[in-house]
Amino acid sequence: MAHAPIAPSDGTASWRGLSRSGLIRAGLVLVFLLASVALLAPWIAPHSPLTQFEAGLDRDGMPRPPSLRFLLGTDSLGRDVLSRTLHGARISLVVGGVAMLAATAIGSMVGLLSGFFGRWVDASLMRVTEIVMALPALLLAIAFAGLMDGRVAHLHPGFLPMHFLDLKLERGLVGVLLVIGLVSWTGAARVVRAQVLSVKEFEFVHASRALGGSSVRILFRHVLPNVIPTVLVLATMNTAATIGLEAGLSYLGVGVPPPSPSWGGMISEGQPYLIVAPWLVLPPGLAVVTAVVAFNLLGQGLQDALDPRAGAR
Amino acid sequence: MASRVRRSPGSAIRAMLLLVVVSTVFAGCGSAPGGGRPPGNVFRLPSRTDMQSLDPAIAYDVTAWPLVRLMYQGLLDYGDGSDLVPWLAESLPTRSPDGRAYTFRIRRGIRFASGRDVRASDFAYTLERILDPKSKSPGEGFFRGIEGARAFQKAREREAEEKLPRRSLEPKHVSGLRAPDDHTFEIHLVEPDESFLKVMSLPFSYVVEPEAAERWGEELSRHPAGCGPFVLTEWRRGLRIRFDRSPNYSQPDRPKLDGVEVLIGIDDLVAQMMFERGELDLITEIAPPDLVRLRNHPRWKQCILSEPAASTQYLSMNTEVPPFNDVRVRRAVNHALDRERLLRVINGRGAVATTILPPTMAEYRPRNDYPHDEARAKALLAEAGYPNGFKVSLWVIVDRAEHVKMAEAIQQDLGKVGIQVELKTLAFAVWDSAVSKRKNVPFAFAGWYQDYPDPSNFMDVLLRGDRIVAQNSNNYAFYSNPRVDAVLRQALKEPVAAKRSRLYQDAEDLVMADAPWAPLFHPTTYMLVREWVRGFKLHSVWHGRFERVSLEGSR
Amino acid sequence: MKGFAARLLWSALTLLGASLLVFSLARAVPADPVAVYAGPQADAETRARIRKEMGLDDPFWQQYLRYLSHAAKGDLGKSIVTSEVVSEAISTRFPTTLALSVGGVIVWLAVGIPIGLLTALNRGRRVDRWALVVSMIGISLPVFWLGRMLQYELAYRRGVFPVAGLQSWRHLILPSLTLGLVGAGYYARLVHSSVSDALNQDFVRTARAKGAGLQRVLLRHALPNALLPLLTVLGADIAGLLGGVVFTESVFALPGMGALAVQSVLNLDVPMIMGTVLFAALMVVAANLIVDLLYRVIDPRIRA
Repeated sequence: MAHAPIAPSDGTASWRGLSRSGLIRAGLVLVFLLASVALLAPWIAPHSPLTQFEAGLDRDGMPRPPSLRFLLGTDSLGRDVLSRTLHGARISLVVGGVAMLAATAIGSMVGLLSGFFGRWVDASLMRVTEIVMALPALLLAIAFAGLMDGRVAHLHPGFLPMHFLDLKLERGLVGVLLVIGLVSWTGAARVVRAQVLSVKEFEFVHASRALGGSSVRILFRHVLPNVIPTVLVLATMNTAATIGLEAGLSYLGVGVPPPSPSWGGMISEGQPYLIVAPWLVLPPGLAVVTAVVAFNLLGQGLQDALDPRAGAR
Repeated sequence: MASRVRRSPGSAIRAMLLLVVVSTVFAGCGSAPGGGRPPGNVFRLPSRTDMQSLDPAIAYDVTAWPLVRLMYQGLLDYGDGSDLVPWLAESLPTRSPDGRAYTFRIRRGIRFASGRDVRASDFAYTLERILDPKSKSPGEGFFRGIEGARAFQKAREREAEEKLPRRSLEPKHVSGLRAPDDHTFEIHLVEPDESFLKVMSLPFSYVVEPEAAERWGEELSRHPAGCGPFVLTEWRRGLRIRFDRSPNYSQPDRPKLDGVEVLIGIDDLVAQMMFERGELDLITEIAPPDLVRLRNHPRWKQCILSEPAASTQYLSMNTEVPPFNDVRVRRAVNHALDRERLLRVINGRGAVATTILPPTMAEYRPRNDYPHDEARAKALLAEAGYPNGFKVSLWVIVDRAEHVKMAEAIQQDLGKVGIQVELKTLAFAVWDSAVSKRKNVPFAFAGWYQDYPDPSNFMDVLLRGDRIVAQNSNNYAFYSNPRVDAVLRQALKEPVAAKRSRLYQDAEDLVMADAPWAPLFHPTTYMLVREWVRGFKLHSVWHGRFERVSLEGSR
Repeated sequence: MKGFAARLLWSALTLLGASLLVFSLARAVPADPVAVYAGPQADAETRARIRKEMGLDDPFWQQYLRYLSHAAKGDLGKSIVTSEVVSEAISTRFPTTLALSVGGVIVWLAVGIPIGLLTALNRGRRVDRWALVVSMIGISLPVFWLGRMLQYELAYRRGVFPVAGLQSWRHLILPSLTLGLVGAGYYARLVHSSVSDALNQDFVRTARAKGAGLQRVLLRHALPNALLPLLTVLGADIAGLLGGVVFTESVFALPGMGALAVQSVLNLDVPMIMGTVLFAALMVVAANLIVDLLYRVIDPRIRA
């Protein structure tokens, strides 16, 4: 479904049923867990996620059910499902994190410039935003992904400081990052713009202007710091959306290419085995749910904490 | 307030645990579902993708042909094996002493769906239509050996280029196609071709009604123009194709079904579930994961039909581009593969392939030129100047699940000798247009199913150097060896069967030594047929013949 | 209605911009549109001639304008893989997507509104907290995963629904449920917070203090208050659905816009990709306009 998880743009849909600190705490615990799994995957995973074990397939070439050696069973090529799921956290978080950063950075920049300078800058940037918003993100991402195949080969991924994660950044992964970054910046642009517009009316901004402060200075000294909390909430929720989007793209076969253990790809590869080996599809599915829930909880908690109306109750 | 704060994360985790439990219960195996036969006398089968065309001149794949056969018929067909039998012809054709001409006597009382009688000239029209460049028939190459075919094609091409009215230049017809009277049809070839009668049994040559073909043009697919037992009544793109009994079918083997329905867009898992629930009567290809389960299932194991397919699946190495322009590299790849393991990854659905020709062919001889030997592979690579291996992309067709799976296993095998393989999975249309282009794709996972049971259909189509074209080449390896070409040309003309077989075996020896392919496996076809389906048998040439099916309990 | 005329103009411009964006994107594709018109045996010369006839050698702007003028007449070209006419392909796929979307929206509202009301009236109690947790998980479920699970359990194992395909309206129930269950949590929370807001407003408190019945308060004050935000979100979501319900269609083998779009991307079928994406954009723009119009009807203040 083309449903954006909880758009933070309207404060109306907040989850006030839970106290905000409860949400934040639950979210933080889950995110911390995920991050630890991602960082420590090579040490906590019992096997390599890519090795195809002889013993991982039975005489007929069928995957092995959960056992002491393979705690969550093996997949259709005799690879350890648990290890793949754990390593999948790396892909999910890296894609979620990097694409979110890209989208948030682009969006914030557009929003800042648009809101601060107003007039034709605002008008033209907002038109572009509207155009991109009119194109449904998922379809656009699929189209981008398909069309870009082979074109990003020259983009060497070495510029991304991710080698400490020992993650093989393949062509496909960079493509997915770009695709998601390019289609999901619009929300941030709109929200940041609105925020900037309200900050601009604050007295100290007026004062600074009156004292002859340069635009750039005002922008970075006064406006930016006031926008950061909003951006933070947005970034957290964007991460949730991005993790979902990556899983979806990989599920459709236009995301992270095999044999990388992407959760969406694992579901897609495993579902022909649903009847005979359900352990192929359940762990990655639950992993996606957990990751998305984690960031949604955190984001919602942060939003409630920053929402003065919620605080009043 | 405080207590709520403390409890809330707990309840979130509880809820998630609950979800895990629920999903596990979902997945826990219980009693197998049943599903009875729904009312109606319509035969239902699935297809993963929509058909490109059901025009007999255009349709060219194993899923479309059984459907084309519902609507169209030709002069010759196969019996239960690969023996040719007359179909619309009264008997097998007589052959002229020089072996270049065939004369068919056509049966009386055959009518098109429109009610018009089938005449000998309609067969000439049908073959001319295939040869006409305007039709863009992929089968055109099979019929170029007919006398006057090239001249006919050149004239039509010139008309198109110079924007002249159609059929204004000579020759207006193919001189080798003659219909002296309504029931006699003659074909003259440029030179004898021992595989030609098998070519004439291809669905390309199934007779179409000229009036309908002229009227509908490219839209012929959607309109009745054949003399078969069924006509197409509905084609909702992406959803279903429906055939109903033809009102004018007058032959003795009247179909027992009211209709045939093809449900489109059904992937393997969904097809399996639908089959078991009684929403489908047949699955044309059991998906790898389910085969083992079905074989051990008390109920479904009786529904499995299987037969070795006349097919070879292979890695094609482009001999025109590095690193595969070096025969040592191609041999190294062959040595590096552990074919037994590769076959196990796809649940042993077939036989290990070490030859070009599949075991279904009389000319097949077992051999093993390249046993699994990593050390030998590494040595060959070092000799060829790749002591540390190299990097290469393997182009794989994304909707062939067993190809994708096996490709991941191949990745591991080749990785062990230093060849780093990156998988490029693509839709067939994209894969095909790239791989068939000269000097474009170095390494591809390909497969070939025979069109007709004759070694020339493998050797000539896939490996003849003098048939390489710049685009849309079937010779994906762009393999060219003049000695092979000479042997194959000779074999095509050789009338003595034993000598002919010998020539094809010689050609195979030469090809295997040059190793443009790494043969992987010969698949086995597994179909799943509901217990209420009668009269369905697997066929070595046609996957299945749906026109003969009936459903139990319906008239 | 002057404001509305301006909106209309902006919408048209947005569509134009979207088409330009998609067109430039599509021009960058390696797929060769000549292939479908030239036969497989065509030589380089013939190909060059066809390229010229098709205007592929013209400058970008000319090509774009030509595409626009054809599109304005409803001619979006022809698939380079299946030769299907793009506009026909869309018109045969759209009804499926429409039916599925309607089903999904019914589930959203049928599940979302009652739960939203219930939790708003029981704010902070056990039922509210549980509803929150369940909704949160609901919106986080990957649709394709949930769909497979439901299909496996309810259709395959229990036979409650047909497995897949579109042979009758019954085939739409399970896909609609899948689509609906994932979105319902969002609507439940939306209704919850707008109704809570309303219940906390002074005039409502006054009304209740004066002894107005709960039912009356809900119907007269709280629900209308929830309507506007609901409408905005619903409009955007429906537009998103009509562009293609990608995952649900894929799981249940429904031949809708989403299936068409995915297939055409996998085939690198440029005219079809452009057609489907532009159609989706049209849906979004139209939905925005309709929501805007409804706003003006419902809330007279905006008209000013």
